[in-house]
Amino acid sequence: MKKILVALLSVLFLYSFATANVATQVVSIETEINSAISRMNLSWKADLEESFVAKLETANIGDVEAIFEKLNGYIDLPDEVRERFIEYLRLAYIEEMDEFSIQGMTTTDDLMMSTFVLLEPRVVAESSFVRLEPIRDQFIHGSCWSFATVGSFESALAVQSFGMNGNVDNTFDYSERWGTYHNIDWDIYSFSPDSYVQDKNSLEGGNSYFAMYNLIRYGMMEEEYAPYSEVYLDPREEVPLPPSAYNAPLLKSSRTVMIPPSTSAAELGYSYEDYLNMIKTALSDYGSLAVSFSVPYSFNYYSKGIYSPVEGDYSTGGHAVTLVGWASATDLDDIILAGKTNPDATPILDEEIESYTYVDPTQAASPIFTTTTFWIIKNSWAYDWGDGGYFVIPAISEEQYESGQLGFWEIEKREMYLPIFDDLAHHEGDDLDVNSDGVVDTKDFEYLVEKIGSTEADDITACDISFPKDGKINGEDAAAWVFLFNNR
Amino acid sequence: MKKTLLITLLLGFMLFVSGCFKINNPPVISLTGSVSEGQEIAPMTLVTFEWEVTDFDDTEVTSQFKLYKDGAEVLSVVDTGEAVYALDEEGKYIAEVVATDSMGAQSKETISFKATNLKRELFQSGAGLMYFDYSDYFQYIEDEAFGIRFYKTASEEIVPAEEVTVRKRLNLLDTDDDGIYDTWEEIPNDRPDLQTYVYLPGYLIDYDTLWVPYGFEYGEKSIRAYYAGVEGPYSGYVLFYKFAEVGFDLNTVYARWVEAHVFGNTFNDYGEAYKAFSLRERYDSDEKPVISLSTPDSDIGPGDSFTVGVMTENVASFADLYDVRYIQLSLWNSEGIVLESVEFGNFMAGLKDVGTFKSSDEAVTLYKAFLNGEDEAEAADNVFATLTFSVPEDYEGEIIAVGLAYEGYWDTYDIYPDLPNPAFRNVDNGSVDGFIVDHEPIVFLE
Repeated sequence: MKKILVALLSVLFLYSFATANVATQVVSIETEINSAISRMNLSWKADLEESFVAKLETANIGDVEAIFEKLNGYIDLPDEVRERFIEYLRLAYIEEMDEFSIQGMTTTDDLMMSTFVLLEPRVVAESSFVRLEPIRDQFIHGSCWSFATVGSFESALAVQSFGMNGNVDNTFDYSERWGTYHNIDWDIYSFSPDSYVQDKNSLEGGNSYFAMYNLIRYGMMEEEYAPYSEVYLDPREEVPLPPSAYNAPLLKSSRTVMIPPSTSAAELGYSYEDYLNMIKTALSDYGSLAVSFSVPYSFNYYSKGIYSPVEGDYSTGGHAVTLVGWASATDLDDIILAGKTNPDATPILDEEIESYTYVDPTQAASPIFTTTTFWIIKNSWAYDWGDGGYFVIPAISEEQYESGQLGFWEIEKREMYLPIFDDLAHHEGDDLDVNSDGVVDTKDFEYLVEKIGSTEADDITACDISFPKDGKINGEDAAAWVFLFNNR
Repeated sequence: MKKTLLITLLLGFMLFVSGCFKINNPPVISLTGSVSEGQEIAPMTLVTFEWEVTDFDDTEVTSQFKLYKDGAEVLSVVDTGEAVYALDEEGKYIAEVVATDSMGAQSKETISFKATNLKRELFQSGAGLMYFDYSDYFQYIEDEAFGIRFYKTASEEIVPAEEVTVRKRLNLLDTDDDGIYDTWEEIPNDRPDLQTYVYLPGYLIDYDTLWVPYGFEYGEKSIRAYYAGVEGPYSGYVLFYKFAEVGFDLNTVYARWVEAHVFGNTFNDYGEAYKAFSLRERYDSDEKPVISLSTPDSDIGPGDSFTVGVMTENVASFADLYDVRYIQLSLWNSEGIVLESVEFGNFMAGLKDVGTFKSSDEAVTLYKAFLNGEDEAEAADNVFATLTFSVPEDYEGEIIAVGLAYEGYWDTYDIYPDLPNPAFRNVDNGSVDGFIVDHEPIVFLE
């Protein structure tokens, strides 16, 4: 009996020691970060809630940094893949070798690429737009990419198919667990010279690029059929699907809006205003966006304010989140993010500001930037992280857009994604008689193809019939014409 | 009296007229099933149907149930009120009940659904076109050369009409002596002594680096060994060593045996020698929907013209199963060669094909719409389009090449007249996955 008692006491002692250890580490780190924030005159605070810290201990990892590295499970597309493609061209056209193949990469990636569409930016007048959609909890898994993808899916469905203000009322709850069941096998993708993309049931790191494609080819099931609660406490990377998943109805999106990284957008000819308006148009007219960034060490301890990195910051891994709105500097003292869980919650900032100037110590020579626009982003670390589960960061400034000077932590450095739900209702105003001869027939299809690439306003008015409209005439419009012709 | 007669005659006339023009309502059918309208299910599913027929005119009714697969009848029953079918093949199915009453009035109810292997593969995460065979023990192999050999499962008729699963021993052969194995040989089950190992180096010293075995990559058309750099300037890199240009059929289970030593013992002592694996997809190796280019018979040079066919193998049937209504393919060509013409044939049976194209100096985009309407009179074939190019007499390029396009980045689209990547859209304008576009270009060297 004594032995059992001693053993029990030992376990309790070790547990309490480990518990204190994580909490102590957090307090110590927060003190350092807040000191740096003060020195740099930044407008945010590091102060994790106790309930959130208590959950970190469940990860069974003593080092708090290692815990956050696990949570930040967004994996960037490897450079090797891009280099490999260049190598392919070199082998094919310079070395003239024939003993190689890129079939594996192209058979999948070419089909993926054809599902991504651009969006025509409209001039968005609203100074701020906030859509506070439900905060989920990925808990101890690196499944952020699935939460960002599904969060965007729910929002886009609500906006595009039901005309709702996104998923603010939690009307739609789809299965992040199903998303992670179709993660990709990163070993095969990274090591194979052919970059095969194939599925792997894995709750750990992933990328929305593939997850968005899976929404199109596989579809998404509702949460009840494959609930995340079944894996919430399970530390395993591969957990079998529950039987309920096998006959679940699957809802497919049609395509994915891809907003290019700011540097690519500039190369494609979009102005700074166009680029910001493209993001804002997507948000307000089509739904919230899956975005990603490389996570500075200090970000993990964010509690409120305008986040930007502090001195000594470094990347602790990639993270995917959902962009749900924007705010002008003058509105930051009016917007409350944590109101759902805290009736006494206060606005993002206590006082009104006209603009915000900050140093980015993650870039060479620590440049200083000034911005007047801010992104409001929902995380998937539950309501007790950050400002009611959300955080705020400065949007890219015009100076940065022109120079390409972006820190690794900025969401404009990477692609942003948004599912598209095409249906007949979105084409009510579209006329199939694009050649205006009074008859809808195959000549209209041929006429539309002939007009592909035209920049004439009349042609665009007549032929830009795809959803979403992109202000161009291309194969998307030809496909839309066929869709409408066959379903008239 | 006259009045009575008149009324009687009138009543009689009305009775006669009502008898002549009696409205016979058709039977009402209630058809339900374990599948619902428009549902997609996996093959190897038992589907059940039930139906009730009500005739308000109370006449005798016969009801006939039929199940069609791709338009062909696969099951027919009469008056049973229920039907069961073990559905084991992909295809488009229609369950139909036709009820006829004794006065000839007829009605019909249907349930349309499809069975696809995609639905099956949705729940097979962790498998695909490539299998990576990794063991923690590979890197500790102590042999100068170690062996690997393979097995496959097969079905064999040991006793007439009795198919049993058997293990087949395999050898890899190098029939053209080029140092790369190119053919499988099946060993008779009663001659295990004929099975041989492929021997691979237990380590490599190359590029001033020591490389040790790390894993094997099994594909449909290749087997590669991976070696990891552990000492030297390329420590941490991986070296690929392709030793076979044959591989493994999809959806067939194989196994490998590694004969090697680690820590003074055999691999088998650690339970690491034998491992089963398979490559999986929604189609078998010989059923893949592949789009590729046909190669001209002779070499091409300045002053010549040549024809390239955009050929399809299993594409039309796959496209039909997934209700494809629009295909867009782009081809790039060497700058300086001239596209002379594009011809489209009848590709998709049962629908009206409309083909057109748009070209630029270095590329052409092909568009095919499959529209509701009268199908073409000629038979459908596997030629998506035929393109004729000419090479000017003063052509100065080093190569003459044409290829099906793939562009991975937005900023490389500008040589194309339209979006370059292949697009396959279904009846709902949703993107369809699973087509394989062979991007291997046709290249003629000057």
